[in-house]
Amino acid sequence: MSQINRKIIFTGPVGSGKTTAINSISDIDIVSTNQNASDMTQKRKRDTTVAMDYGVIKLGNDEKVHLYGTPGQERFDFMWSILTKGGIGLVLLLDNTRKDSFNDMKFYTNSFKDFIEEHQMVVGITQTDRQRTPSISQYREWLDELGYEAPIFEVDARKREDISLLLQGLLLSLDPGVAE
Amino acid sequence: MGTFKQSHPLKVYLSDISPHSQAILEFFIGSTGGKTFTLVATAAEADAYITDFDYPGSKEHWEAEHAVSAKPCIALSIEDPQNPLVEWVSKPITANALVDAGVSISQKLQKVSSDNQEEESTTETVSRRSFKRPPPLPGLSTTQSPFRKKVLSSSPAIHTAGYTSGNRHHAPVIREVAGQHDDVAVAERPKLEPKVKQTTSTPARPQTSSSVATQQAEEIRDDASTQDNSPARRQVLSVEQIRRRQKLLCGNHENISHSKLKQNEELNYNSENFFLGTLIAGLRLAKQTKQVVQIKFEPHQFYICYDEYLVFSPLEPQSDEYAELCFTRVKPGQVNLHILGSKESNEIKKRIHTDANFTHDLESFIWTSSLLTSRGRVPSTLDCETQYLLKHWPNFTRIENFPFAMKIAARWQKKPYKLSEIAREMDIPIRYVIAFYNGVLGLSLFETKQSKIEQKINIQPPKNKGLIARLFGRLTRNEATS
Ligand SMILES: Nc1nc2c(ncn2[C@@H]2O[C@H](COP(=O)(O)OP(=O)(O)O)[C@@H](O)[C@H]2O)c(=O)[nH]1
Ligand SMILES: [Mg+2]
Repeated sequence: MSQINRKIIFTGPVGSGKTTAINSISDIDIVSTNQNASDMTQKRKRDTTVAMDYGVIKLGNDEKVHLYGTPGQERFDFMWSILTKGGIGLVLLLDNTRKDSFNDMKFYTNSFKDFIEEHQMVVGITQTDRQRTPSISQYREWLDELGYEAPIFEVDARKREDISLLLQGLLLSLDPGVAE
Repeated sequence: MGTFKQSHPLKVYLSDISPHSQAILEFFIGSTGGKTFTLVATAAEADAYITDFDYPGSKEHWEAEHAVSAKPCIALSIEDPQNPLVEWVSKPITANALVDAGVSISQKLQKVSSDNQEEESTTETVSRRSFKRPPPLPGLSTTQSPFRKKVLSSSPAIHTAGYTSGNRHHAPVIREVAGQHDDVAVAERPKLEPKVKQTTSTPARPQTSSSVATQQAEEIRDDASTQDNSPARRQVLSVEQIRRRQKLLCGNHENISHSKLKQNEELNYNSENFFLGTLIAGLRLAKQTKQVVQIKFEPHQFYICYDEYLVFSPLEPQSDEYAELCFTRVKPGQVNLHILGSKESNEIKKRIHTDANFTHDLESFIWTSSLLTSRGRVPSTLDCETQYLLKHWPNFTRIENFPFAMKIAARWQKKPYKLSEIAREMDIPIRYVIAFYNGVLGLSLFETKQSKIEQKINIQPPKNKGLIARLFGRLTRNEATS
């Protein structure tokens, strides 16, 4: 309980890779809905309880950075404002195969508006191996249009290196002089 | 809940809650829910339980506990458990419902407590826990529950990072040095993936004491730290090969003085005289016309498909042959652009999809081509006195990386700098700043609006500096090795 104030929040539409990304970078096996099917009776699984992902990056000396994925937007949006308390940054994942990625970007940046303004966001575009368009340059234009400044990388949420680079982008944006 | 005022938060114990629900509840209680609830580690300390009634066996468990302790319960469940002893919170759970349930229990507890006080007519403080406590059953205590509390950190299980390799849109890059990082990460984590074992000596810890060697090691380490290491991209390259490639991308000029940048002919190039000039022109044309654009450079033919953000190239961008092609001056008329008609376009698109070996991400291709052309030189159009501002970061997960590139990007997006200023401030060889400049120029990622450049002021010093540094170190594993 004592250290919940250091966290990175992963958000984005269902299927954008939040669970997978946290899983890729976490030092512990992710605590998530999909892997806990046996916890609940199968019949009820679809409606059961809060769906939030949780992972950890250990820094030694008991210091940890907690990784939280936001649950589905309709059901638990009240958690979002809570979720961001003590967060150091936001990772927005957008699924390139979705119909209206601009709308997704708009929705999520708007939901986390205050947090992004105070802290920092990075954007990861997933599923680009399955769907090439919109291109990253299109996403940059959209970000301009919405008035945000953030690193945008294509990522495959299943690849640790991609998620690591995305987080490095986040940290460097927060402090360009880090590790110098 | 009327006007009831809770004097202190209800002490709750989470019982039979799945780990993710537990995480979310801990969150909630650790923040806005903190006025209503406080979490305790054992059932004995608690005023009440929060239990997931959909959790197999949880209802029976709670009933057994209740028989002993008589502690009330907030039951999270899809269906109403129809039990007057519990406060039901229906799923999906909302913050308000949770708070209401908590307040309701607090209220009842307080009522019981004051009733008891009256009954016993004593001045002693009565425990708020005495919620209609029945006589204890023999042999069952709350702390000896047959049901163990589920803890958040689950035991190591098989980690299923679903790798799919062979994604051709990833730039194959110098990754060998980065391998050491993964080893460190693996030590931290009970991951069951087989890891590529580092076989060569690590350049990050050179045996030599010479300062040049140390600087080079720093650079290679930085390179490793900011590069990915995916199987699709990993090529086993020796340190020597890495240096060679870096030389092709960034040149090998030692620190060039700022004033010499423009004077020395050798340090300048005009992209119009190279393949790059046509490539960039082709890119613009493809973007404008939305058609496939062909670049003929006999005997090679390249195609730019802007739709799909791909380039079809007969030469591997990482090959020496392509490096040579980029670096060699072209003769007038030697390279030609054609806009393809729809029929031809479709044929090329088909080929792009079937011949993945020759298709490359457009930006990654432009980036590499820009660097290979410049090889540490500056475009003749550069004004050394101009301060540039980075508008957008390059797509670092998919481009060929080189030392300090991400750090340069971070700095350059924060405020306008001359090339020399960045190098000085970061205390790095200017060739890396030049390389970055060339790549970004090729991709048109610099800010062009003068007003934006002017309004950019230096931001406040970062918060959480220490934490950021430690996490960055952890991710790049510079720290983890020590
Ligand atoms: N092909 C492909 N699959 C991906 C990529 N990123 C994530 N996935 C997969 O997409 C699916 C949805 O991801 P998930 O993490 O469950 O998304 P969430 O709903 O945001 O938590 C999973 O099967 C992932 O393995 C990607 O870049 N490419
Ligand atoms: Mg998920």
